[in-house]
Amino acid sequence: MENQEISGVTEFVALGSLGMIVLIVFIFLFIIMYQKKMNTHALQINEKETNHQKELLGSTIMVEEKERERIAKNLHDDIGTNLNVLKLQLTKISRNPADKELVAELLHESKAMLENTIQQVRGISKDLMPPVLMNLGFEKALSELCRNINNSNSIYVDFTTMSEGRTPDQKIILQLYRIVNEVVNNIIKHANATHISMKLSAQGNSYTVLVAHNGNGINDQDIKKLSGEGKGVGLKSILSRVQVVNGRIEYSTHEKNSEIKIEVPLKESKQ
Amino acid sequence: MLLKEYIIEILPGLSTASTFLPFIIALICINCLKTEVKWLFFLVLASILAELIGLIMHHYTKSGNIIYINIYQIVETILITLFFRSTTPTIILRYLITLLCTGICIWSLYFILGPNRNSLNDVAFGIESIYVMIFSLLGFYFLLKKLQNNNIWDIPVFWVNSALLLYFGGNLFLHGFGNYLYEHSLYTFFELWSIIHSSLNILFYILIAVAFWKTRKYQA
Repeated sequence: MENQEISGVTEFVALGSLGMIVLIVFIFLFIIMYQKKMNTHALQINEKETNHQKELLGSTIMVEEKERERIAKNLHDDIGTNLNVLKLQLTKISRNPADKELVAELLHESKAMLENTIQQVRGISKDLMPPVLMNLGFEKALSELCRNINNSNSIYVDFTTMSEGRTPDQKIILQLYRIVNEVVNNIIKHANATHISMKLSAQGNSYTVLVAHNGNGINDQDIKKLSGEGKGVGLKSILSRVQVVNGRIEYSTHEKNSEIKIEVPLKESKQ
Repeated sequence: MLLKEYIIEILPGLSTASTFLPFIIALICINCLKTEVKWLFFLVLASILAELIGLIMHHYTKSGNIIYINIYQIVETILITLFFRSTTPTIILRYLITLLCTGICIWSLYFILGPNRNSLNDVAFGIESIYVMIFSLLGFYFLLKKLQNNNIWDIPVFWVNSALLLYFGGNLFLHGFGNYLYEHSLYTFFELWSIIHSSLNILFYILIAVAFWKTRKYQA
C-alpha cells in the first residue's frame, strides 16, 4: 500500500517536472530563435545600408564627374576658343603693324573678346564657389539667392532666419548651400509652385533649413521610390551631399503645402 | 525539524510575501503603468487583495478562502485578457480573446452562484490555464514576428509571457492531475500541492517583477 503511494507520488512529481522542463526548454528555444532571427534581420539591414551607401557614393562620383565634364566643356568650348581667336588676332597684329586701321579694329575686337573671356572665367569660378558665399556668408548667400529668384518674377520666395547668426561649420556650408540650391531648383522645375518659404533656424547642435512651398510636393516614400527606380540625378546629388555632411533630409506633404526639412550638425561660428 | 517540513512551513509565507515584490518594483518603475504590463500590475493588486481578504476571513470566521480564490480567478482572467488584447496585433484574435474570456467568466460566475461555491472550480481553472497558455505561446510568436528589440531579455512582454506560460502550465498540471494524487495519498496531496503551488507563485511574481523592472530601460 505504502509502495503504491510512493510510486504514485513519484509519477506525479516526475510528470510535473517533465512538463515544466518542456516549457522551460521551449522558452530557451524561443530565445535562441529570436536572437537568430534578430541577427539575420540586422545583417539584412546592414546589407541594405551598404547597398544604399554604395549607390550614394556612385551618385556622388557621377555628380562630380558631370560637374568636371561641364567645367571642362566650358573651358574648352568658350574660354579655349576665345583664347585661340585672341592668339590669331595678336598674330595678325604682329604681322601687320603698319596697317593702323586693321590694328585698331583687331585691338577693339580683342578687348571685347577678353572682356567676354573674363566674364566666362568669373562664371565658372562663381559656379565652383559662389563669391557671395565666400564674401558674405551662408545666410546672406541664401538671401541673395532668394532675391535673385524674386527678381525673375515667376515665383515669390519668402526668406526668414531665426538662427541668431549661428551657422554650421565652413566645410558644411558649401554642401548645404548646394543642397538648398538644388532643392529650390527642383521646386521651380517640377512643383509648379507660386510661393516658397525658406526658414533658417539653429537649435542645440543642429541647424535647420525648412523649405515650404505651395506646389505639388513629394514625401519620403516618393523619394525612396524615385531613388529605387534610378531616377533623379539631382535628387541623388541632394541625398549624397546630405550624407556627406552627416545631415538629415525629410520630405513631407500636407494639405495645403509641402515641406523639405534639411538638418545638419552645427558648430558654433559667428558670421 | 526536517528540511521538507521546514520547506512546507516556510513556502506559503514566502509565496504570499512574493506578491509584494512586483508591487514594490512597479512603484519604483512607475512608468510600467504606461505600458501594456499595467494590467499585470492590477493583477498583482488583485492578488494582494485576495490574499489579505483570505487571511482576514480565515482569522475571523475560520472559514475557507476557496470562494475568494474562485472570485479572484474571474478577475485574473479579465486582467490577463486585457493584457493579451493590448499585445495582440490582429483584430480577429482580439475578438476571439474577448469571447473566450466572456465564456470563462460566465462559467465561473455560474459556478460561484451555484451550490458548489466553496469548492475549487477545477474546470474553470483548467480552461483558463489552457486559454492563457495558448495566448502566451501566441504572444511569443508575435514577439518573433515583430522583432522590436535587439535583446529579447529587455522586452517586458517576453517576461510576462514566460511568467504566464510557466505559471499556468504548472497550474494546469496541478488541477488536471491533482485528483490522481489525491486518490493515492491525501496527506501527500496537500503537501505537494502547497509546495508546487507556492513555488509557481514565487516564480510567477519574480518574473512579473522582472517585467516591471525592464519597463524602465524599455521606456528609455
